[in-house]
Amino acid sequence: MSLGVCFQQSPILRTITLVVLCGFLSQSLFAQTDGSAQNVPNVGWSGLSDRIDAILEEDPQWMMGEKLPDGLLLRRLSLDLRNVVPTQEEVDAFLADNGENRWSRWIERFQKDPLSSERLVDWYDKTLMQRRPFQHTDRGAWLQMLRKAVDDRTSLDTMMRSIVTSAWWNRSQRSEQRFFLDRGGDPHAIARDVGRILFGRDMQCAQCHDHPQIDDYLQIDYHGLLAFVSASSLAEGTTKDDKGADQKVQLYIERAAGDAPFESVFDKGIKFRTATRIPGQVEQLEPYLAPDQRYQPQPKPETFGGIGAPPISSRREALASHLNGGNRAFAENWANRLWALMFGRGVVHPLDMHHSDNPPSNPRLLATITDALIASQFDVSAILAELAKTRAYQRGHRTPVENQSDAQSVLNAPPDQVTQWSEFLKSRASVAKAEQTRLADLQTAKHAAMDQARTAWRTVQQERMVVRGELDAAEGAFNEAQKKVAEAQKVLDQAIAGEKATASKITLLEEAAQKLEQAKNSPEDPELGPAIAAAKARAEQMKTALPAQQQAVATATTNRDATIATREGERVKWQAVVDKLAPIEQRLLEADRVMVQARKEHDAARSEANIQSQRAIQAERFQRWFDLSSEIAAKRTQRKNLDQQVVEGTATLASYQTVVDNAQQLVLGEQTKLKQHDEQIAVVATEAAAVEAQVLQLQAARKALADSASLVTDASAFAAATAELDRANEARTVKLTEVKTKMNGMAEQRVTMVAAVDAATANRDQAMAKRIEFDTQLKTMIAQRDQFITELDGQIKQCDELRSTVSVDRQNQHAAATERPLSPEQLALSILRSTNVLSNYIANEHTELNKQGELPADANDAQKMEREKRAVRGAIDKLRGNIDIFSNLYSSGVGQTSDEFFASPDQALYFANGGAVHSWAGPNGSNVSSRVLQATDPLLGAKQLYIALLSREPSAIEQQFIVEQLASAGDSRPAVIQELVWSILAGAEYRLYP
Amino acid sequence: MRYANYACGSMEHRLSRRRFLHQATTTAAAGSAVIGGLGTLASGTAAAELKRNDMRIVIFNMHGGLSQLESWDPKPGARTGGPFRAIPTSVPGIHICELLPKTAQQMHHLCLLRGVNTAEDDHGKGAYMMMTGRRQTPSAEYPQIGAVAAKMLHDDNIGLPGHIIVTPGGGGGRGNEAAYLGPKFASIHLGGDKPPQHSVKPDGFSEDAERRRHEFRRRINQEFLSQRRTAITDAYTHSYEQALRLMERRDVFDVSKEPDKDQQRYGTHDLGRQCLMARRLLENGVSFVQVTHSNYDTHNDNFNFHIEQVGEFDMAFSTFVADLFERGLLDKTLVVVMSEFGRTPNINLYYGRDHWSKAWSIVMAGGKVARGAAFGKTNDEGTEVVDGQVDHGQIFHTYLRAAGIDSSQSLVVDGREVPMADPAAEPIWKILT
Repeated sequence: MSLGVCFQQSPILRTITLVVLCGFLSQSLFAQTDGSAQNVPNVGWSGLSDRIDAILEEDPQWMMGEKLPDGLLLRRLSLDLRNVVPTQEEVDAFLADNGENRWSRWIERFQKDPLSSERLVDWYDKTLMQRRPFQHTDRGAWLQMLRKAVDDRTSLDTMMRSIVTSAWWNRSQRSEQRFFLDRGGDPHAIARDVGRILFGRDMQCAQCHDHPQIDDYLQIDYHGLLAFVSASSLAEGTTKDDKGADQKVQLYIERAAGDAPFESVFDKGIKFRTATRIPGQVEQLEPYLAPDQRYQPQPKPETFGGIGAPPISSRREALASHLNGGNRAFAENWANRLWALMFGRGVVHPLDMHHSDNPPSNPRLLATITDALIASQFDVSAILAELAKTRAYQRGHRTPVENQSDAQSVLNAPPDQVTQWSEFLKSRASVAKAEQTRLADLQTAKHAAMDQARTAWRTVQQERMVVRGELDAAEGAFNEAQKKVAEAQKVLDQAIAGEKATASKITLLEEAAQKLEQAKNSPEDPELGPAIAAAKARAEQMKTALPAQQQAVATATTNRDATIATREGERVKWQAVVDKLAPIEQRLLEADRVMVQARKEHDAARSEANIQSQRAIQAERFQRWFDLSSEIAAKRTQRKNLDQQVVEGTATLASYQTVVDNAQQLVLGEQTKLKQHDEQIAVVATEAAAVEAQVLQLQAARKALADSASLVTDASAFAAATAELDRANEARTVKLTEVKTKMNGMAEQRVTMVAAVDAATANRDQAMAKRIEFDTQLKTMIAQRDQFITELDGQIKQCDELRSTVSVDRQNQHAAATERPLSPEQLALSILRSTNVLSNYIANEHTELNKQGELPADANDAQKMEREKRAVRGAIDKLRGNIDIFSNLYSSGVGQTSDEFFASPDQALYFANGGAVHSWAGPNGSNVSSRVLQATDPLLGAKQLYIALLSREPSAIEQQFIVEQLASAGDSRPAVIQELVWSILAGAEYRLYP
Repeated sequence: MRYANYACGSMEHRLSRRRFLHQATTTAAAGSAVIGGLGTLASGTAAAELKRNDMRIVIFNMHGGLSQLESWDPKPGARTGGPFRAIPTSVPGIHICELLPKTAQQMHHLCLLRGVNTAEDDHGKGAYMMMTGRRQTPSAEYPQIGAVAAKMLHDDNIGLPGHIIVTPGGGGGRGNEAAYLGPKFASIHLGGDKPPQHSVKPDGFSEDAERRRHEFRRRINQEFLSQRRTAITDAYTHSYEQALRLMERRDVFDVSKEPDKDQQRYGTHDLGRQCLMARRLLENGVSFVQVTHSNYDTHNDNFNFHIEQVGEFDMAFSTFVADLFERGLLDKTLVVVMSEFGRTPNINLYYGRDHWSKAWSIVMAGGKVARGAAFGKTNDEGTEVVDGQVDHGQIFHTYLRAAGIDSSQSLVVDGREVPMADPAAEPIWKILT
């Protein structure tokens, strides 16, 4: 069954159907040998894109994402192949293109663009130099070298070899030497970067001991790499400058190698030595050359002053011999880097961490690209084109299925099958776990084998160290003897010189005497005669000294020959040690082979165990997210119900409260009545008291009257008064009785009223009790609801975390596009292009070039292309200062593997206030701001703005927003347009890859 | 494990590796996270925890190499002692050079380290060691203390950079001290008392236009972010708001806003203004400030030079320490006075002292550092450490501990786990509270 149908309507349906058909638990899903990818023939590199898609789409778990919309797709391609966003014209043309093979044609079109060659130059530069400054080399020359390599379509491996072997005595390779010169020639810095950049392995931490965190990186691996460059260093030479004056220049020279012993800081005292060793290979044993036979007899013709001849055997040449398709680590490293160039992330990531604890996200993917890269003979452009053609490259960011209910609707599948999707993920996880366990056991076994092999190797290595010690001693003795030879030779040379000087003086004297003889005027020339005699006498005298000198020469010669004999004796001894070493080193090599093989098997098992572990983790994560999001969806409904219940409960509580309130009103009513009644009682009581007081007063008066009867003279008056008093008394007493009766009545009435108050109070208390009871119930309900919400919020947070992790998992599996920012250079160049600054510069370059000579009218395409390339490169070189500002602000700095995204206020301050970006955004010539300014229809203006700057049409909301701004701008239209352009350039969308 | 022969403990490595795998799969998109060296801390929460403890670090870099004999470790009367006396301080029993009378009165806040031995007499290499706690190697770069402080302590939301180096002149740009922590934590250089570069809106730009374009930016972002919102987009949009806040808070960088009285107290020289700036920045929440006093490289005429230079320092530094204490900031601020090395006990023909790293002194104060103490001792002529010897590795651990940071942590950067401080060294526990 072929699964290469990703962009058909419902890939999920297909995959899930497959899953269901496979019965979910089929282990064949995981089997390396099974699957459709194997059916695509693996010949050469053509068809690579199909093979890649087949591999990536084989795994149903990842639910391949949908394709990015066309305009954005073109933007991505343009950024990857040309380092700039596409122009509005390009986007329009692409959208209007309905021809055959549109995508392939546009890939080709972009690859032909001179900007594309600049993109590769930029990539080579950053990959090789990691933004190191130009200390000893020239930027222009370096760029020129890279440009030429790209123009010549020099294969990647050829380029790496020419950099590694670049010779200090060869002036034409000075630019290539930048790799070494601008790392200060330091062996450790260079060894580290050779490991990172050429083999994808950062072994820095294995310098002083086996890598503490990465089992695969051993100290011997690091020192094996170091051995390639340990004999190379900076040296000062002289050259002539433009005016012919002497100029000092730093050179990266190579001497004859000698390997220093090293030991682990954790295991002091046990020393090792290694010659060169490529990661994953055995030590490269070299023939031992006698110390006086290690350099070429003559310095190279182009040698800079003051530096001697190169060594016979160059270890950098030896390193170069591994930089080709025959070395898997080298090829995998570059395959991975090319993938990262197009996808923003390596199959192995970070790019320089190839080891078994950081396995590739998809091993077969890496293997396939690597095979293709080798088959293409390291043709970068061909591989990039193939990668761009894949469906994987064209994916968008969205996850098609976010939760079970989404899945349900997308898949249009019955719920039980959706449940099974979750089951499927669970089963995947458990299968992977089982596999991981099996592999862990395997790894343990392999580990034991590896330990054994390593112990064996260490034993032979120690044997070797002993003999290497002897060799050092023999070499020391040889050098000592050689020194003696030199000394004896010096004595001999002096003796010979002395003898020669005497002999030549004798000759001169004799010749002089002879010539003087001829010049004599007479036989007894009084002046010359004595002179001749003196000369002859001196000559004779000197002749007597000659035998001694000749003897001295003879002695010195004998002595010298003796030292030579001694030295040759030492040579023989040295050779004897070398011969003694040979079988030991052969055994060491054997042990090494066994060890390397054991390491390879162990690392493979470990890597596979890690892959299975990740698979289990990812499947579990996916399933947990899937289930959790479904659970959350269900709980959201439940939450709504709970909310409703609380709302209802609250209303019920309010009605209870009303009852309480009414009852309270009644209580208050009764209480008021009682109070009023009590007031009336008080009035009556007062009245009664008054009457009673009057009665008493009257009675007292009556008694006083009676007591005073004896004094009374007028009886009738007395009787009348008495009667009067009695009547009054009678009347008051009656009144008192009346009042008392009334009081009694009222008291009775009060009892009834108190009872009424009590009844009302009881009624109210009952209502209150009911309310309180319900309130408690409601509070419990609310507490439960809140608890539920807290739990739900926790789950939602957890789900969001899972979602973003799963999203990263999906990106890593290339089911969705990687989130990635533009590089600093892409950002700078894109802004320059979006605002037409770049095209204006290119036009200026053309004008300049035309001044130097117009292109003939019948110029062919190649000539036109060449002219365009010169103009583009000239423009970019002139804009370099602006681009460098972005590089400084937005890059991760010197020596980093890749530019990690970061955002800082100083970037934003430059962008907003530095002046440049805002001024570029202003209307100028025919740039986007001018076009929008001239557009009479604001709708058209909005569209132009978005297509030119963001390669897509605006959404309805965006369109409306822009139209409103343009319409309301009035006189400040140019300023508003400039601000809008600036805002889009400063926006998150512009900063990121589509 | 292949060979479990690591002196530093194989169990840790085992844990670390497992975590590495986990990290690699879970935090792939995010930048770097903090993880515990002892396997206790997990992910970014530890960093958040620390940020809440509100610590700061300020470093006085006595550029060129301050003479310990004319400052913290005088040897009056000795052959090597030079002309100056030693004076008592506010801590009975501790005497320092008479060139530091005001600082002597603040001794109860300070902790002298008199047994520093860094064994490196080169300016550049010595400075690197004191700033990073490690020896410079060509194949590895380590972040300076300022970058580590910015990463571990700084609160991004205050609208000010976390790592500021105040230099007497020039500057304005971003430094390069962050190594693998990334440029986000690199320093912002302030030239004298000037605010950071580009912190005013472009010339001729109206307030309205400024407000409008940022409003446009937000609106335009809003649409995109409703479709694609990630940690990257958040950080990016946030950086513009941070920039605006920094522009609003530009006054923080204006020392003239401080009262005249304070300007007089600190001294009207460069160092005085820099110290006042440092106080202002620390008070406003900046987590790391470095002040440089230059240049102590006194191969000639060491004594006259120190009279002048140390006098300037004494005034500014003593005021600074007293102010931090009064304002309750000293507990939250680690103060360090250091150089790349000290100066030779031997006085040369030109009345100078040369480079000397075998036995010299630094000062720490504040944070979790013991107060009013003198740790370590040199012999009578100051030629050797006889007690309490410490080196750059221990000192770097101590900076971190004193600022409440667990210095045994590792940082995971781009999939690599790097110990924050040299794992072979430990903090100087005896001076930590």
